[in-house]
Amino acid sequence: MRASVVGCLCFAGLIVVAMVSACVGRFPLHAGQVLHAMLAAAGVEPGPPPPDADMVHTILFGARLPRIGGAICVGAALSVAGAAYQAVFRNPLVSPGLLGVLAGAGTGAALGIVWGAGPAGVAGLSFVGGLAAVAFGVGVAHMFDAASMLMLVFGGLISSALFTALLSLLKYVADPQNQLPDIVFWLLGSLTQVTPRALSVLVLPVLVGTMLLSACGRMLDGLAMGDEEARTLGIPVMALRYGVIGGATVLAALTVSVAGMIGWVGLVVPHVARLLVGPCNMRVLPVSACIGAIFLLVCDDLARSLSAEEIPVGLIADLLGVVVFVSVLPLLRRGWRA
Amino acid sequence: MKADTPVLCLDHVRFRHGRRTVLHDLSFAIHAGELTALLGPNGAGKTTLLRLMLGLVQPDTGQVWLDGRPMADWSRREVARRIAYVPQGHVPLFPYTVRDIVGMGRLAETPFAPSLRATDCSAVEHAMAELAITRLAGRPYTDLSGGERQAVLLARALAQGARTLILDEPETGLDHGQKQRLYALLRRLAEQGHAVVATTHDPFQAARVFDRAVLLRDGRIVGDGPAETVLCADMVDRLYAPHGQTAI
Repeated sequence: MRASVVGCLCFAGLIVVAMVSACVGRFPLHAGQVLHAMLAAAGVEPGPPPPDADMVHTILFGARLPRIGGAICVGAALSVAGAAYQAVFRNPLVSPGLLGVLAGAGTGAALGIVWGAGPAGVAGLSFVGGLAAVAFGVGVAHMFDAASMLMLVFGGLISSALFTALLSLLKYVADPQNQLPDIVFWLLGSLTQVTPRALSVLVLPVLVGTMLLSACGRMLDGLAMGDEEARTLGIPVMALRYGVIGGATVLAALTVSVAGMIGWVGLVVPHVARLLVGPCNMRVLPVSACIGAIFLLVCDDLARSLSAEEIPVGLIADLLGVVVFVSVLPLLRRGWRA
Repeated sequence: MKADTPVLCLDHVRFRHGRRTVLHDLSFAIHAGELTALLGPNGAGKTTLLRLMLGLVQPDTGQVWLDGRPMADWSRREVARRIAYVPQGHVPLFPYTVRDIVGMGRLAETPFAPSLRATDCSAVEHAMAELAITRLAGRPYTDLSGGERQAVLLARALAQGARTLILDEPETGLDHGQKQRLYALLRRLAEQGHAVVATTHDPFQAARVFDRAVLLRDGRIVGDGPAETVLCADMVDRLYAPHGQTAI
């Protein structure tokens, strides 16, 4: 009962924060203008158009709403991926980057930039790079002992190291005048690239991925009991583990391909969710999605409005993530027993 | 009381771990309504035998039969509906409540459902009532004592609704009263038609409580029959006798 109330409150909070986000930025809009433009776009003419209606429409639909959508999708996807990884590895200190997806996606994007591929090419290469890195890590684990989770973590470490080295190599060979700054800026994480078209690619996989992973929630709870016990409860452990890793990896790689490297969120947010609704993954996963979306929206609002020049959102997310994590850390002792 | 067809049957099973043979040519059957104790010194192969019976590992040669079909032909879900396992109490990382843990016994029925159905809920409540842990339902499992945790894991196995129960040293960490209640419960389950197999380190208690005892030493069955007869002082001494110069 309490958990469902928290869930509803989180969703309501997300809508409120999204509305506020539509108003803040370099050109502050007030709620009336936003509402008018939205109603007008929906075909309802609420009254005579204000003199700046065209400008408001352009700001809102050309820039702000896609960004808000992007922040929601990226924040939700990273948090769900993080919560899923933590459940699969039975470890609250795991982040979506564990198996190398972030390093791989970064390398893919850098390759795209050095190659001179357009924005879509960079995004595509980044997505492929993320999947390739995880596939490599899992492959290394399989060469030795497929069933061992420790081997999987080692595989991830090796894959991360390899792709980080490749990324350094690409930075080294990149043209220092224009390519290197592009790579660096891209790695900082930013939502400036989110176009309506990119958003339309992002929305469906994030929604479906979140729903599929949440549907596995009760089985993931069973996995917390240990592999063998989970099998005696009727859970196909290996299929579940690799299925969930696959789904979470696709989500994480997608976020990097549209928004660059935004770390932390995936590690911090599931803890906050567990604090609110308890350890059951059926609730932790969707609530993580909501909180992650709110968190990244707030970060992006700050990125857009703190200074005249936009600050990379990845940077803000890292800083704010540290603040949130440190402030909830004393409470977290209730959330797990280490 | 014995049903004619065994629910679980090991047929000339051999199991190797690396180059070491852990179980040599083992054959025995488990019947409904029977309370079986599995005894043997540490390292005799009890745990491996339990894992074989649960279908967690496959034998190198021979066959494990469950309800008349080879174990390997059943899916994990189908095995979980027929065999429930009560491990030794352990502490998971996340503080699931007692009701959450007992509810995991229903995973084989509804793995993808967002919440338990009415039939699942009633199975969970019934199992908790059977173990007298309903008052603990909302408590975090991680806060419980060893005996309470054991009761929760037993309730989960009951909620699973399986006909065969396999328990790994269920009396570990229980006080005298809790042990007596545990044995009474196992007896009641057997009378309801469950097949119950438990490993135990207490031969004298086992002789009084169990119908049948299977003695395992060095991966071989060295005794199998009515618990009172098999677990005589002489047999127990020989079962636990040290090998050569072993210190303890």
